Amino acid sequence: MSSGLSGIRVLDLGWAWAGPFAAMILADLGADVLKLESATRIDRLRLSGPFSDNVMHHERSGFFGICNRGKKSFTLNLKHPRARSLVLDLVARCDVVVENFAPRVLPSLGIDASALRERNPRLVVLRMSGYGATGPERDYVSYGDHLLYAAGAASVTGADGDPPTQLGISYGDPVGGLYGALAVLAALRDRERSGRGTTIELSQVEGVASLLATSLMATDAQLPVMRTVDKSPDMHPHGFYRCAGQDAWVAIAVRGDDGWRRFRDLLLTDKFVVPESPLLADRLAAAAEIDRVVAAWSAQQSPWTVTERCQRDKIAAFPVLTAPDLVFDDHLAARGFFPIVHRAVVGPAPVSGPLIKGYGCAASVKGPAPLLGEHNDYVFKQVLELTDEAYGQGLAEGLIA
Amino acid sequence: VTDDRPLRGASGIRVLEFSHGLAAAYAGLILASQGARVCRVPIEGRNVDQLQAAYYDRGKVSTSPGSAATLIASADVILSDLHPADARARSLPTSIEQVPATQTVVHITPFGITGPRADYVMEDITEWAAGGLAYATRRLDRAGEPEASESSPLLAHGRQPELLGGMAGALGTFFALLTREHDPGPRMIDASRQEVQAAMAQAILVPFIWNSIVPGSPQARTTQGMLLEAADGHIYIRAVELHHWRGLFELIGDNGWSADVASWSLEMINANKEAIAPLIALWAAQTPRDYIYHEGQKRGLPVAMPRTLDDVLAWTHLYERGFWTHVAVHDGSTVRAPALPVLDAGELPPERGAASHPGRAWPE
Repeated sequence: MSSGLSGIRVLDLGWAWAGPFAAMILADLGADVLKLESATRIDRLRLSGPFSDNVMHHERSGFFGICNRGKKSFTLNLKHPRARSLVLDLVARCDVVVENFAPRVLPSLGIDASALRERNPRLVVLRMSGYGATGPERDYVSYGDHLLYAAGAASVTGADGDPPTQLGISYGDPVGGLYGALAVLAALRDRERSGRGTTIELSQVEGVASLLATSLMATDAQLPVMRTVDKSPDMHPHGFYRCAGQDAWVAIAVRGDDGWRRFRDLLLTDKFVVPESPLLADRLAAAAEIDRVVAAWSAQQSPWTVTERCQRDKIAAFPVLTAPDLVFDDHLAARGFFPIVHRAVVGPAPVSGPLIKGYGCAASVKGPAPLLGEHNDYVFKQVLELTDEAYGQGLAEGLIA
Repeated sequence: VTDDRPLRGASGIRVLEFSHGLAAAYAGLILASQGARVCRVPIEGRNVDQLQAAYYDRGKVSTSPGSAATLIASADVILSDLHPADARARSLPTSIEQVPATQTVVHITPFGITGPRADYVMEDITEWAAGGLAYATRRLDRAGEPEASESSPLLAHGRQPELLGGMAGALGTFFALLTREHDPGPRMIDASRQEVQAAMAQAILVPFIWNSIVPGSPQARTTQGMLLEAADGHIYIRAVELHHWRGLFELIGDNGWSADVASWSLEMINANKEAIAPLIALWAAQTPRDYIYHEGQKRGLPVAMPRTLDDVLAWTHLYERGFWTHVAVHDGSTVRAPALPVLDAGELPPERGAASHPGRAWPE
C-alpha cells in the first residue's frame, strides 16, 4: 500500500515529548525519521520511568519506547565544533526538520531555521516551543502541563471554588505535536506546488488556547462561561456515576425528552423511581434528586452492564476506561490499535497505534524505538556518505557520541 | 505562523462537509484556512450552537440538502462526522471499495467505522470517558476531603474529543492528498476519536504496556508539579532537572534552609521532596505571583501563571504575537477569537460563508 510520506526524510531534533510526538506521527505515516541524540546529553524521555522490569536504564523507558517507535537513532554531540557542518550536510538530504527546544537554543549552536533553509530551500522546518519564537515571553520555559494553566484550560476544569485543575496528562505536548505534524503535512503539499519549503513556528500555548476558541469568544462577549465539572446545560442526567467495583465509573448522557423516557423506563424496570420530569427544564430543576437515584442504580452494576443496557436503548453511556482497560479493550483489539513491537533489551510489548487508519494510504507502527545510536552506520555512512576513516575519526574525536 | 508566506496546503481542493458536530466542522475549517473550497451540507439536528457556527463555519459556503447528492460526485474530499449508520443512509462510502478513484473520504467518528462498538451512541462526556483521559482527570486533593482518587472524574471543557478528532481528520486529509500526488486512486481515512485520545494518553499507558499486568490493575495518578497559593493567587511550578531546582532555590534566596538545599544533588532533592514542598509553599504564600513567574523564568524555572479566560484575552504576549482574529457573531457584532495555530493563512472572512472571497465559492 502506498504512503504519502514514502521517501520523505525527517530529521528529528525533538526533545522530551512534544517534538518527538510530532515526528512519531510522521514516522507512522511512512516517513524515514532520523532521531538525533547524544550520549553526552541523553533525551529526558529515555530517563523517564516507568522502566521495563523496573530497571532504570535509558534503553528501558516505556515512555521513550512508545513515543519514538519506528524511528532511527544516531548520536551527534552538537557542542562539538564540527557538528554544525554535519547537521547542515544532513539537512541537505532531508525534507523536514522537527525541533522543540526553547527558541534561543538552536541559534546558539549556529543551526537556526534560516541557516537550515539556506542549505536546503525545499526544507520544511517545524519549530515548536511553549510560548512561540516571538513575543515578550518567547524565552520562557514550560512543559505540557504548564500550558494548561497558561492557556486558561485549568481555570474551566473542575467545579466553582476548586483551584485551577489539570487534565490528566501534560495535554499541551501531544496537542502541540498533533498541530505540528498537521502543519508539516500542509507544508509538504504546499511544497508540491510552490517548490519551496517553509519555516513553521508553532506556539504550544496557542495550540491549547485554540481548543477553547468559543469559550474565549463568549468571554470576550461577556457571556457566562461555566466550569465544566461533569454537567451540561443541554442534557440531564449527564455525568460520571459510580459503579460497583473499586474506583469504577460510568459516563451517562441522556439527550432529549425521548431519551429521558427510555432511560427512566430502564430505572423503573429495576424499581428505581425518579420524578417524571418530562421536559429538560424539569430535569434540570430536579437534577440533584435524579442524580441521587441514578447513582444508586449504577452503584449496583458494573460500568459495562450499565453501558450495554443503555446502548441497547440508544442512550449514550460508556465506562470511564483506565489505561489497562484501554490496553485490553476488545474494540481496540479488533481494530488492531495496539500492535506488538519487539524492542531490543525490553522484548515484545504493545504500543498504541497511529492516530488514523488509512485505506489506500498506509498508516502503521513501523517498528520499535531504536537503541541509542543504533543507526549510526546508516546515517553517517549511507545517508551522509562518510568514509570509514572519517566515521572512525568522528568517533575518536567525540563528535559521533 | 510561517516565516515568509501563508501556507496553502489545500489549494484547489473541493471539500464537501457533512458535520453533525464539531469534528468535521473543525477539520473543514482547517482545510478552508489552507485554501480549500469547502461546501457544508446542512444536517438536521446539528449539534453546533450559534457561537460555534460563527467560528467553525467561516470560509465555507453551504448548500441545500437536496443538492448534496449531486455535489458528492464533484467533490475531491468528502468530510463526515456522521454516525456510521447515518453516513450509510446518505450513501456516503464507508468502505474503500465504494470510493470513486478521484476521491478521498474522511470519516471522523467516536469509535471509527469498524469494530464492535462502531455503532454506539456517544456524546462528549462518554467520548472523554472512552479515551482514557477522564479517569486521570480528577479534583486536586484538598485538606479534609476525600483523596482525589476517590473523587469523581472530571469532564474536559470545550468538547475536546471532537476537536482532537477534527485535527486528526485534517491530518488524514493531507496525508491522503499527498499520497494521491504520486499514486492516484481512491483513499479513505478512518479517524476514531477514541484512538486519537488513546494515542495521546501515552504517559498513562506506559506503566501498563511495559510491565506485566493483568486487566483491572490499579492505575496510579500521574504526578505533576506544585500548584501553590502565592500571596495574590495561584502559581504553578514543576521543577524536573537540577538547574530548575537551583533556579528555584536562588529565587527563594537565603531564608535559613534554601541555601543548604541549593547544593544538593537531584537525587537528594527528589528523595526529600515531601520535606521541601511545605517550605516552598510557605515562601510562595508570602510572595507575589508576578514576581515568582517572571523572576523564576529568568532563572530557567518552568513556572506557569494560571490564567482565567479573561486573563488570556488580556495577555500581552498573545497580543504581540498577533494571536487574535475577529469573528462576526449572530447579533452582527464581532468578538475576538483565536487564529488557527500555524494554519491560518489570514484569509478567512470574519463572517460565516465565503461569499466575500471570490474564487472560493463552490458550487459556483
